[in-house]
Amino acid sequence: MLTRSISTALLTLSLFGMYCAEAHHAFAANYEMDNVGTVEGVVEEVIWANPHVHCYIRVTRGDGTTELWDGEAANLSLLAARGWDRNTIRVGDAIRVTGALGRDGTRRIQMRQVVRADGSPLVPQPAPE
Amino acid sequence: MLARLQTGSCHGLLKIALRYSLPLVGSVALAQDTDFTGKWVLALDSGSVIDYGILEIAETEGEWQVYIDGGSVNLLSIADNRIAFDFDWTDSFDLLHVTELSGELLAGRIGGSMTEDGEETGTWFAEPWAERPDKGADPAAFDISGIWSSVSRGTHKDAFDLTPAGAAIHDAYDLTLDDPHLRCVSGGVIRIEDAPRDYEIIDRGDHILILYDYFGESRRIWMDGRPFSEGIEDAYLPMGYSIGHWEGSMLVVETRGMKPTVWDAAGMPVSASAVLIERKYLDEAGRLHTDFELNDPANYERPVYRHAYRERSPETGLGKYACDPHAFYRSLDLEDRLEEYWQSRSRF
Repeated sequence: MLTRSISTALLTLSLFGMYCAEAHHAFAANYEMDNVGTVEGVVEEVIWANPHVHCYIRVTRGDGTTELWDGEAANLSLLAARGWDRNTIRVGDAIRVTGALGRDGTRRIQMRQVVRADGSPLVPQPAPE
Repeated sequence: MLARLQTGSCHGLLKIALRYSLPLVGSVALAQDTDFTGKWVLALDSGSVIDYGILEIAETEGEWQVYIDGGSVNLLSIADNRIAFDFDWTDSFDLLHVTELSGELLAGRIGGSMTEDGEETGTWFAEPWAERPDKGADPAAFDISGIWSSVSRGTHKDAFDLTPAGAAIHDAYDLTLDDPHLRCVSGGVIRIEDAPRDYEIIDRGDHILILYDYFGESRRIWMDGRPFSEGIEDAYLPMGYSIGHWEGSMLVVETRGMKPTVWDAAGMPVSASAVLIERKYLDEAGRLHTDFELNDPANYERPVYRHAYRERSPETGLGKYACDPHAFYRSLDLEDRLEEYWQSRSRF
């Protein structure tokens, strides 16, 4: 399932903290920062390394064809601070990613928020106060 | 992005009098409260940390120019003893911000509030450059050895005024293809020093060794009085060739022979003939300050400055920067841009 609408219900895990910035130099070059969409699919490959973690996601379209999306996350230090490790996303996981979409129709997505396909969080969430 | 604002007010005589310490009985208080021109120590207080920089305000034939750390900023208004301007800067996540500073000049000090998107984000003040505390005033060098963690990267002004040659490099820069960090290639001494990551300094007598967590880089600063060799501009060393000496308790380091590259993700260039000056000293709290001054007239209209400071982290061990360029090529392959990369001429 692929949508290009702003998702508000799934914002359970912020990976970038985009709230106070106009753009990100490194990401603004590859992404339309104001064009936020959601991609859902099965993880095919994870590159758990600096400078940025990448997660390649196989998406099945409505007509049954598939396409590979390039999900890009932050660096290892920042992800570790958010509670991620190399086992947080594994090959074969069904996930839903929300973030800025690639420029010029490229199949990139900036992984701002990630949940499992059933909507549950990837990492334990702090209990509500 | 150079900002100029016309003004009808003129206090030229008072400025001349003040600059040359001429007595102006009865007018001094007024002149001090309206003369913004000069070089100021800028302090931005976000509540959690104070970031320092250099504020320069100049007036030429009624046109005002305002610079932060050598880069022009957008002057919004200046009248009587009030001034407002905004400036572009990037945070440690490389996110671009525009912050407006408005304030007034009172008793020789400018101060006011900072806002971003209409929300107040802190306060700021600026004091005359000449009144900054003495640095390196102690006669003896200090023990610089240890692991140092970043506290402040200064104002982190983003854009600087480029020469036509510098602008050509900047305009041709394509982050997707050209950013060396995406290929796990060190971005060079300025970018490595500027990163908010730990480094360890080891004083070995004839040289000072710096081990950087970032990209696992290292650097030697030669302290044995050697000169730069002829043709150092052709060395093309990512971390440059550094020679240092102590001036009292200030370590002064000059670096030449840097590889032409970009020193940030946005593509600010550095040329082979650039000269980097660093002045490192301790403050009363034992924090390590570094004034950076990049002199690169091939690329910039004026020197570029940075002021960073660090604190000792004796309990911290340097991490291992695990970098894998696989995703760089994988992503280009997915987008059918690999051939474009192979054919591109720039290899920063």
